[in-house]
Amino acid sequence: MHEPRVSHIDDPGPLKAPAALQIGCLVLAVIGLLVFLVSAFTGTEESRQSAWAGYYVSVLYFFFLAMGAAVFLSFQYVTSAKWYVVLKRLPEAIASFSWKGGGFLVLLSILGISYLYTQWSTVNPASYYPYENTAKAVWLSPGIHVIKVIIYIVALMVATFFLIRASQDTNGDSATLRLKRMKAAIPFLAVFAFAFSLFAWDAIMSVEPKWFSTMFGVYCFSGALLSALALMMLISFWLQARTGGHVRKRHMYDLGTYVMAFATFMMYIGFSQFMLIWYANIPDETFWYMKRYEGGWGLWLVLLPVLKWVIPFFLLMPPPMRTNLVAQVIVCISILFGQLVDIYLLIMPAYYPEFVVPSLVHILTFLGVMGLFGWSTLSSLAARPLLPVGDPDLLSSVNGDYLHA
Amino acid sequence: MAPIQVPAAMAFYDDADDLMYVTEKARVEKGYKDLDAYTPYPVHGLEDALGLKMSWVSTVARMGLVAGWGLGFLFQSWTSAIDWPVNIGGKPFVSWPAWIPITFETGVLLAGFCNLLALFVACGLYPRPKTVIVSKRVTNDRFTLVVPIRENQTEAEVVAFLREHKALKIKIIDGIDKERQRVIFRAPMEEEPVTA
Repeated sequence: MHEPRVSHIDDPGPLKAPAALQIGCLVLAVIGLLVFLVSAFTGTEESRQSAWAGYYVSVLYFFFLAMGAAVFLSFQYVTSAKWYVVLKRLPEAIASFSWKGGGFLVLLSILGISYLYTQWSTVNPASYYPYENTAKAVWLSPGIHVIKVIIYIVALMVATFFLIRASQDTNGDSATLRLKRMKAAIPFLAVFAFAFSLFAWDAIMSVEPKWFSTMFGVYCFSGALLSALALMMLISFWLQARTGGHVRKRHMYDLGTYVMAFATFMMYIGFSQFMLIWYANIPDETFWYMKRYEGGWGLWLVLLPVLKWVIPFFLLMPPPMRTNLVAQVIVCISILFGQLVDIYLLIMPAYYPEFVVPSLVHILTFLGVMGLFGWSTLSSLAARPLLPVGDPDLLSSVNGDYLHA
Repeated sequence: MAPIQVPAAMAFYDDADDLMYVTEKARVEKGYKDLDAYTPYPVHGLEDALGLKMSWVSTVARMGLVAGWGLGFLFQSWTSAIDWPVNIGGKPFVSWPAWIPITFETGVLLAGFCNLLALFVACGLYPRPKTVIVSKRVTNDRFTLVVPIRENQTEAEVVAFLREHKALKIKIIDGIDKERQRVIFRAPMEEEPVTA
């Protein structure tokens, strides 16, 4: 049906989550992180190792969600898009985790260098990888690693902070605001491209220092963006019900199409990385996939493309399914679970040749980081109206003027 | 876009929203059928307002995609495993991951061709089709609604409905040639067409 034009949008008010929910999130965060800290700094070497590995998986998972949302937001500003304006509180809230906890948690992983990077010869002289006296050994040495990670993470946190600040700013007319946001979004993308790729190579890929893939940075990026889109898609159904019909069907349709498109992008990147290594068949490269294929890991490696591409792509292929609640819930949960499996597979097989079931400490750590993530998202949604009512482009987004411009 | 049905009444508007509004009224309230619209650019939501169903073009394209996948994959399997098997790096003859890119490409190729051909058939685009130029401004700044006048309706009834809904100009088309069009109403405020 032809949707009526609106000329005024009532302030739907901020999120009225019960304070108990936010406090519950914080309690969860405190419990989870305490459990992690206790098991990471006391107990046997094996339990410390396991605690750090599980911590790294959890932290990367939620940090990636935040960075993916920030990239989504910066895309819209760089292209001066207007369609997403009704939805923009969601990426803002998710991305705020990068400086409200997420970045600091990643920085905390520096303390676990000797558990996370066990294969570095500079950390463990008995490491089987003989790269002493090479530039790589210098680059992958604890002192330089700490400085690098601090630079990358602080750069990402600062760039995200300014991006979100510009995004929440409503002082000025459309042209002024567009310029302000461009000025935040373009540096963000430049910083992100370098800092995130380098972080992926130096801090994630290097848990297996012998292996190298130039696709790895963009592989992490595509996973981050896809999982953030899936989370936004899930929350947007709630936002649609909560804000009295201003989130129209076509907004949901466009976001749903985004999910499908970036599921395909993820598959494209993942397959490109896999196929070239498989085809060239060089032992220096194939061992990484073999490690993730043997010892009980193989089931999950095969399941990964199913969760992240086959289910989303074929379920969302008919256009009506992209706005269908049931279909999108299946797809988004499949993607979010697939992203967890993905990061688990990036990190865990580096320490455990045999498949390990997540332990209680892993699960509590994950819930703890999730609590902090939930708190930062809820507090961001509770701080300002759910629809950006002061934004000059809001009416254009709701009425769909951008379609005819 | 099927060939235009005659006789028909055409109403001209200068705004996409007006067109959308009157189209929906004509279809839902008056129950007019086989409506058609001409616009200078794709107007989002107009297909819903016109009550158009999903066209069959995408089904043909999808069949082309699957056929392209299958044929591309089978062709590579046949060349590498049956017609001229060559041992490459000790890999199996049917080493499917290497064929995914070409399978994808042949799928896209056949889907594209099927899409294009199905579009030609669906739109009746064959050499020298009979066309009606409803108005030259339709390619520039006019939005046109075409209401076929059917047996159970009179011309006066349809024209009255369109006048009631602020059409800028109403034309009746009796036949598929240019001579059998007549303007029967022109809104007094309408500016003359800009001529270069």
